[in-house]
Amino acid sequence: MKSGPGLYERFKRFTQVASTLSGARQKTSLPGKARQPDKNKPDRVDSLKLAGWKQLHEFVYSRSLTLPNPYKDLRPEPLFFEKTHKIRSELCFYDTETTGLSGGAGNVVFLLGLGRIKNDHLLFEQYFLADFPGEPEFLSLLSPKLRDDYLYVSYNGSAFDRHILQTRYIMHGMQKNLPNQLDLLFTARRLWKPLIGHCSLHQVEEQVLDIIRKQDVPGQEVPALYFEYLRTANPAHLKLIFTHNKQDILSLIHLYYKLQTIFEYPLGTQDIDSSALGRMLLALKHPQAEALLEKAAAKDDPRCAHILSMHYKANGRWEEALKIWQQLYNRGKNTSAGLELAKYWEHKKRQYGKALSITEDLLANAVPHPVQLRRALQHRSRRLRQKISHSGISNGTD
Amino acid sequence: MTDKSQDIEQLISHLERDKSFLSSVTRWEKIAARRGDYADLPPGLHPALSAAIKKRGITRLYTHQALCYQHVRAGKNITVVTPTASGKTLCYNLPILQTLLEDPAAKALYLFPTKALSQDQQAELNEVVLSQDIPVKIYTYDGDTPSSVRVSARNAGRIVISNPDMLHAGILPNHPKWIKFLQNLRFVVIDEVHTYRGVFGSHMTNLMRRLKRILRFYNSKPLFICCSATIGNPLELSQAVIEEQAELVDKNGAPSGSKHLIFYNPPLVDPVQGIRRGVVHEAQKLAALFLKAGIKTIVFARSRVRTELIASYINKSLANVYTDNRRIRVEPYRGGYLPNERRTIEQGLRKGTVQGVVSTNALELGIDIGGLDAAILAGFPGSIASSWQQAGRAGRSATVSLAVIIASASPLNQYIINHPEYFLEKSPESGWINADNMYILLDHLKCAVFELPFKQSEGFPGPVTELLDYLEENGVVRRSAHSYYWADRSYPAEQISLRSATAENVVIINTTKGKHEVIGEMDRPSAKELLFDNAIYMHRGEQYVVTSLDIDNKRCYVEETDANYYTDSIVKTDIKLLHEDKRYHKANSALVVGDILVRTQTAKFKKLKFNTHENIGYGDIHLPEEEMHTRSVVVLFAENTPAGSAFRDLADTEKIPVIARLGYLIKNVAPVFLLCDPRDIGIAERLKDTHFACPCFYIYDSYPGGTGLSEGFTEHADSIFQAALERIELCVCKTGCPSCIGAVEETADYKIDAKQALHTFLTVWLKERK
Repeated sequence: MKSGPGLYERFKRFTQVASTLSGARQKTSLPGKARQPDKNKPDRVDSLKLAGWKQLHEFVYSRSLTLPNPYKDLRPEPLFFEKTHKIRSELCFYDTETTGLSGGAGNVVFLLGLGRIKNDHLLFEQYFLADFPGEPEFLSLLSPKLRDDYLYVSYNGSAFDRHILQTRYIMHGMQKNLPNQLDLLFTARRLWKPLIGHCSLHQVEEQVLDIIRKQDVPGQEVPALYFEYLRTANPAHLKLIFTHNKQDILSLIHLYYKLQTIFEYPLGTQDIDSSALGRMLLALKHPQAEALLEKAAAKDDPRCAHILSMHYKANGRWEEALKIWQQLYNRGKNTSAGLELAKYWEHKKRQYGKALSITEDLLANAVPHPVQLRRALQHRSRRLRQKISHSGISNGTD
Repeated sequence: MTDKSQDIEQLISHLERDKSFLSSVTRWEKIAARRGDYADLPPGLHPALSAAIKKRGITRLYTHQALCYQHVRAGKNITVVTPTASGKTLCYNLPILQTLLEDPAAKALYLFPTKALSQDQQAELNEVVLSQDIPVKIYTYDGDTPSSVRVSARNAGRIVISNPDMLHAGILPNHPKWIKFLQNLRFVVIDEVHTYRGVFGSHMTNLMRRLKRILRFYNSKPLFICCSATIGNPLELSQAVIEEQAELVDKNGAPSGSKHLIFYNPPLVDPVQGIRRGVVHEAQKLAALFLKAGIKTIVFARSRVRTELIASYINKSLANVYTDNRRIRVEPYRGGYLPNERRTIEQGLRKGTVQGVVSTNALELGIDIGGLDAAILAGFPGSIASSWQQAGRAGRSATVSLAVIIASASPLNQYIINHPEYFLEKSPESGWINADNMYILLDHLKCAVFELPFKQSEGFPGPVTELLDYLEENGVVRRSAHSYYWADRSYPAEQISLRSATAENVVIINTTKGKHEVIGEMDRPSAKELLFDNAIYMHRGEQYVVTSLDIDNKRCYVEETDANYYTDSIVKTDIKLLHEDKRYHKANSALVVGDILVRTQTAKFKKLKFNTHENIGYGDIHLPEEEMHTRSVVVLFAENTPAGSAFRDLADTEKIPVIARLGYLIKNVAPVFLLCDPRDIGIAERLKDTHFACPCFYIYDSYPGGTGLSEGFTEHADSIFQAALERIELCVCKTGCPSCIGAVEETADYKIDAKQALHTFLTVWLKERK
């Protein structure tokens, strides 16, 4: 609206000053020191010379490897999957590498790795996008690889990879329904989070699967390596990414097998959160679920004992449930066990006095309860008193 | 209702008879009540919709609501100007709900500047929609929305209520997830459009450029409905935000009660030094008087600190009178409170458990706080538009209301209070946007490339390809096959704040007695000036002392204290001229417009006693300096100009005080002409500038890159200097006071009459031309 120097000119001026001044910390939103623009830089990367890769399109490459199958008895129906899936013809392990670490429209998938077990072999494939303009072709070529009749196994795929792929198809106006996923992260988190923490694939590899990667790039460095390759057209960086992606898929297969073993022989499993496993086994109606929980409860694991008691309660096995609650309550004034006892005496046995004394006992607990629980207890106590006084009157008149 | 009317009429007649009060009143304006203009409900209105509004007692529309309906239904963008209580929401809800009922695929996006306003709107819409089972799903989508609800908002929301920040950082960067919504987007409502001026407005325009770019990708072209409070150029401003034509609807058909508007200049306590009673005390005194008379009162204060001060003073003064039997509750309200604290106060006001509130301009916007009877403006809010809005917070359609504007000692306030006609007759300020501020533009370009690769400029103005080339040189964008792609692993919107120069907020943590509780937050530059080590920080009337400010980790640890003082920092500024772009010969001097680098450092702070505000000590601050590139106008007292020779003729001892005092005066007078806040302007004086080799002073824009204030200054230079001279002449003080050239302290290094010297200088300087 006002006459004056051009925007770009002023901009240059500011950035020049920013770089000459004192090597000062970058405080403005301007990125760091400007590099000399390379006016001779070609608009696109020359054809890649990558041994073992074939070029499918100007910017799209792929390779296939046939590796020995590490686990002959790996089964395509996952025992540990709670959802009942239509039996699919095949398992497909997959992982993507992307230009960003969070989601959003600007995060691009540039590498997809797929692994399938076929008899004695592991068929491994990678699809690589060598520069952004090739993305539509890249996605078209991937489309038949993402089939409805496979079960896609991933690590964090349902929260990340799947959405990023979906976004990419939308960005190019393409219709693609991505098949359902089996995300091993969920299962791994439930079983190991209390023991090893966050449960990144890396942590699980080291602490559960005993896999130590040699000369691997950390996942968060992958985007930087790809950008470095885009700038320099030097494929040396790519090999690190390709290997990283391949290792991710191999680890996925190891993890899948590990989980399969755990769910086949839960009683022989160690270093695992038994209560989480027990809960999952119960949900799956696994024949060894009770045995596992009983074993853990006997080893003084109150969470397992509680899960087991609730399982008994749900199946009307009151005697067994009652035994656990009484044990838990007598030993450590366990609140949830106390609450169950109060419910049991009130509703099941109509012994209001017993129920009231436990409720009052809980309310008198030295450790303050959360407000909601306290209110619920007070409410129960009032109701019990009413019931007691009512029954007292009726007893008297009879 | 009638009780309230009686209360307030009694109070007004009491004030009318109060001689000492009247002696401080410079003008008492009575604004007559207005009758409403009505129109029938539009023909063809969906039966469920007319039933729903009839249920709320609406059987006919105000004329402006009917006109809005016609325009929107005819496919036109509109800008509607809506004073308080004029039935604004029906202006857009009616045509939008009608269309949404006709077309089950159609969607609408509502943008409010704050989360609180979104929640109000959701509640209001729910009332309409739920009462008649209107099948339109409404979702609020903001930072507080749980992730499970987010999915349904995206997939099932017919009306999504959000804010610019969420559109910027949540919706647009993830637009593919919003495909269903965006493909069918028919309306964008921008409420409180007058708040999008200056820096925020420049961001908003760029945000709309991004939104429209994405919508083109999905082949949709919605109508824009903008609602504005009364400002000078509502249509121009909203057209600048949406960069499209719109129809203006500004004939208000709603009725309003009569209003008393009182201009109050606190009495002089020391005519020689020109010292008046402080605005804080006067505001407290009047507020207590009103509250005791049973009048629900809102006090607007000019700063967060003052909000806390006034509220605590009022509560203290009331505690003396009413102990337990009749409790009047007054709450402070400002930015920096946690959302649930704010909601509690708003609710208290609506339900009547809170009778008074002291607020920053945070309550200026249309947050529903129920009917208030009186508004006290503790200091002129800096613009006529926001004065009217703040004054408009008192009064509903049927009752008498009262608004008092109390002048502070600042030159700007004294100018206004002595020229009430300026206030009453001049149309309110216009809002301006400089959407091509290079920092803002560049930030939004980054976001836009992230959202969709660029093929050409695509709706962004100016040398977009050059800026994209710059981004490429810096490695965040890649050019390939004539397109530009985002090529960085970061998520750019996350690092860009629409509200301030920096996205980095410092979190304030209370660590008293081993607690670890977040009590508020503040942007980084403000934190450096307000939350330095040993600073006193006030929050909801509680005092805290800063135990440590950790700028790198954006944390500030505080502990409760009962110190009897508050703190104020002293900021040092260093300026370097980067480039001179243009030189003007105006106002008998030379004016240079160019780019500068400003380095500021807070190095010291003062301790000021409560109530007396006397200085009781200093302390050191050790914080890294802030750097900013911005735009400046330099007023040169060059040799060959009248200004230069007038300055040369001053005695040597007069030169420093004159140039320093002139800076103070200009900073405080210029905002009237530049339509900005004194805080938007920085001033630095140089007795002999190393670059220009003559005396000069810099007036610069406090926002990185500049928002056009320097250019505006050159346009109005004559009037600004003239007004400065007039301010000195009209001021009753003898040797200078905060209302003209700034207080002259006993300890001043110079023993000369600065006011006289400055008066002479300005007179000689400006005389020549006339």
